[in-house]
Amino acid sequence: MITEFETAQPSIPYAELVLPDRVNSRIYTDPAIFEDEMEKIWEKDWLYVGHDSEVANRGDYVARRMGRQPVVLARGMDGVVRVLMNRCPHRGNTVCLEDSGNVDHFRCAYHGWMFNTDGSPKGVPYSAGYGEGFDKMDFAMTVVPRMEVHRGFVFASLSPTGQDLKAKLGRTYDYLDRFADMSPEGEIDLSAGALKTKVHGNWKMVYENVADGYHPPFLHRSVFAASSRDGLVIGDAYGDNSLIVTRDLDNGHIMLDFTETNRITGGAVFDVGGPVAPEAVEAYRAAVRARMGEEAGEQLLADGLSNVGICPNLGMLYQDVRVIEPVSVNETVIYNFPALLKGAPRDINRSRMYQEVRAYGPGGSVGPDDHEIYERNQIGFQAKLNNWVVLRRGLDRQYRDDDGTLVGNASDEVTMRGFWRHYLSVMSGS
Amino acid sequence: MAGVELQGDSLRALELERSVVDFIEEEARILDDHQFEVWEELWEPDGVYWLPQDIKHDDPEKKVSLVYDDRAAITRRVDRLSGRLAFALQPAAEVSRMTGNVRIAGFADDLVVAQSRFMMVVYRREHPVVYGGRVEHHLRERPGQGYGMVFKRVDLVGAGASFENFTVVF
Repeated sequence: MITEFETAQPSIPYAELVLPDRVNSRIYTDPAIFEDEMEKIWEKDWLYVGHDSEVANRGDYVARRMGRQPVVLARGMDGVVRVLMNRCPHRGNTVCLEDSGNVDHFRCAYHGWMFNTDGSPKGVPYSAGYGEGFDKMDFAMTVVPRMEVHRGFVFASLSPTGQDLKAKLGRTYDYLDRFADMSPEGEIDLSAGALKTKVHGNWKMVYENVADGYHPPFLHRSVFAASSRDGLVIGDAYGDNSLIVTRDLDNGHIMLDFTETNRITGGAVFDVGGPVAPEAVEAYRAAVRARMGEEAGEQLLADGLSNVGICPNLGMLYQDVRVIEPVSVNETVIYNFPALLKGAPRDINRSRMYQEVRAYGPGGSVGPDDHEIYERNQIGFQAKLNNWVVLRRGLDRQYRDDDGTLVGNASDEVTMRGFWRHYLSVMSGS
Repeated sequence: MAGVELQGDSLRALELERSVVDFIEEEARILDDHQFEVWEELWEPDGVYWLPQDIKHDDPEKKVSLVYDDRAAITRRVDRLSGRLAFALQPAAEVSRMTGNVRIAGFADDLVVAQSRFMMVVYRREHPVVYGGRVEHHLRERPGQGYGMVFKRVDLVGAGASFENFTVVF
């Protein structure tokens, strides 16, 4: 039923706000646009929810949000991982009392309704009060309509219809393989938990920044200065002679591609989070080759990791798995999980852990400068005169690669344009 | 108390406690005054500065920490705090903290283990924030010059929450 309120809403002129080389600030500040995004993106698209290593044992759960909606990622006693709405079907209370845990069953604190960790009903107190026709089996926790898993990454959609996950992931499907294959067992481990940062900025800036190769030498100069003192030369890494490229991966997915520079510098960097014994690196590389085969293993190790954004809420930056949770038009929570490698020598995972902790979260050396930018941007967006955000960098030098992706220099805004093209098509329904 | 003379073990215990309280208060003053390079000098070569995210987990290699700095990382943190290169620290935060409830919890090898509490108010960009928590210092005596820090663990109240940027050292 269409209410009077809904018909009175003026439609949002997305095609006037999102142009091929710029977007209007209003796209980041208008609460009506945020509500529209909740409906058209966050309640329809595939979202990354969590990783199966976070719920390794039967009865394990983690409470999450899909957009603003509370869900729980839980492993049932049958060993199967599910995404359930974190809501009691009786009166609507959340059924998980903690952010994570291991339980035999969920029990709603309000009236004691109980559910198995697969969401099925377990018990309703004083059920005779519901009369003769009552069947508790009609009152299960709601399972989200669609869920698919790739390499342990659990994606779900609140919409019963739409493309399958493989089609949605598109060009990023193989990158999830690459990411997981870095583990000697082919599995990553996200059970270390996440750094959590609250920023007063719109979620789309957080996503765009995953593959912004223009800002690092400027915004993150404190890190570059320290690295130069430590003998690492990265000051010109993003300049015009850089081998790093930006890639528009379609479907809103984006990449800051370090593959070519990784091949020169020797692939994955392990020593940023503290020294790693050369024997540990050798043992690790040998283990990867043993699983993947000599040639494929060597190729993988040489290519290393890059920065990839899987639209709308997942970023993968070297060892970092970044989840974006929109709270309101000007508030976002950022989760930074270190991806540890199952079966890797302790030194390797220690380095990945400390690299993560020292770079990201509220107390890191990299993340806080980004967070500051989101907040200052959000303030700057309030300026209404000449309120355009310019995204034309590299427009005249981008080219189509052999694999069909649109490519730009390290510092070019190819990735932002790719994201916004996808955004416009989703939001305007065209 | 007139006429009571402390001597022997009692006197040494009181002197020890006083010296530890002095150290903790001096460290707080140094941090409130943004004298980060002076703060760095308080660290011993094997120093570790740690803010766990989850008080139940004791292994910083298995669970993420809000901060886990070895000595080299402490130097990088101080560089970032002292220089003009960290955008998130311009303008710098104003901060004032109270320390208290200091107790000597024990001794380990050559270390004094001290526990304390703190409350601090941080103000930056029109935005006040309150932090509080418990601290454990492992202190190594520096003959004639007080103590050096070997370990400092800060358990923030609400450590598991999502925080805005930390713009201070706890």
